[in-house]
Amino acid sequence: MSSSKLLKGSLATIVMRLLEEQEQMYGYEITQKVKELTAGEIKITEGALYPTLHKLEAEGYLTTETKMVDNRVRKYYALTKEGNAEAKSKVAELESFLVQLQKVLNPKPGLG
Amino acid sequence: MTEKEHKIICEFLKDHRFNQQELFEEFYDHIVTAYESREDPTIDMHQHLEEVLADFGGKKGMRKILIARHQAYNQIYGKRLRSIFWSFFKWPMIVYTALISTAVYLLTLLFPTHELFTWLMLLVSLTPIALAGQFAVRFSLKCKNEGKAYRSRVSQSAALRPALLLTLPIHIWNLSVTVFGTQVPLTLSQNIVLTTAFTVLLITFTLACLKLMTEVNTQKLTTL
Repeated sequence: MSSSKLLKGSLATIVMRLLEEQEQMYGYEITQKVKELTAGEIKITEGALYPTLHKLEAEGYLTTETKMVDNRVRKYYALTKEGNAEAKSKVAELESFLVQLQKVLNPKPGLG
Repeated sequence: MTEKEHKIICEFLKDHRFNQQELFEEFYDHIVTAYESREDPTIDMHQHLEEVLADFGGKKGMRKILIARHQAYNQIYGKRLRSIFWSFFKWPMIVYTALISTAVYLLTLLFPTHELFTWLMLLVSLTPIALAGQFAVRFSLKCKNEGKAYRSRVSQSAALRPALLLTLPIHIWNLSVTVFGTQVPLTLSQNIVLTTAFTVLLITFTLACLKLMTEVNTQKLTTL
């Protein structure tokens, strides 16, 4: 299975986690931040990122703000109050899943 | 960014139907930012756009983004419209609804209900469409004068969508006249309570549509 398929289910969590830390980010910035944090190992494609951002916005987890930057309009995404709570819940859920997955992938020999 | 490069991006976005304000602005900025921070400065705009297209998942991916954007706006404005509509049945807006109900009831006493109902339906369903048309023309002219690459907004069409559903009662009405003759609609419209209630619902829905459109066109929509 390619890493993009593994990433698909956790993309919303990654986006929300980044926005939890950075307060507000724009699309390109999110892709670059993920690339930087994973030393280029994980690459979020725009084709997956933007539909996720738009979906989270429609669900009320993200709010947007436009600013003029270098004479062009830049759209920033930020977490709403509900988004903040959802981000915490999604991160906790993913962390718990990773712990369980680790148990399956690296089972410790039984004591008995 | 040269004028030639700007035109190439505009053409690219237009070709992929990203020619509405929200889509154009967001992805124009994305493309330019990525171009300005490219690692290899020898890459020209045409090569850069090829890379962009690949990152966006080709034509299919671009289409997916386009659909997601439209769906998101439909959902956002649908939610906002419902919130405005229900506010007409809560304090203090319920006072207006009560006044509308009284006015409609008095009109039913003054005019034949069948004709009154038909004219009110026509009026409430056409008003938002006329207002949306006016906003769209004004926005298009403004963009043309400012030399923008787009002429419309996704939010405008999303806000108009529920208003278009308002024409549905007219179609049902016309269909019932065609299928059953004038007897059934006539019998229904002679029921004053039913006519008043339905007309008040249509009027409040129209007012909610008009409020939403005004919010969208004055960019005051902050509560999503």
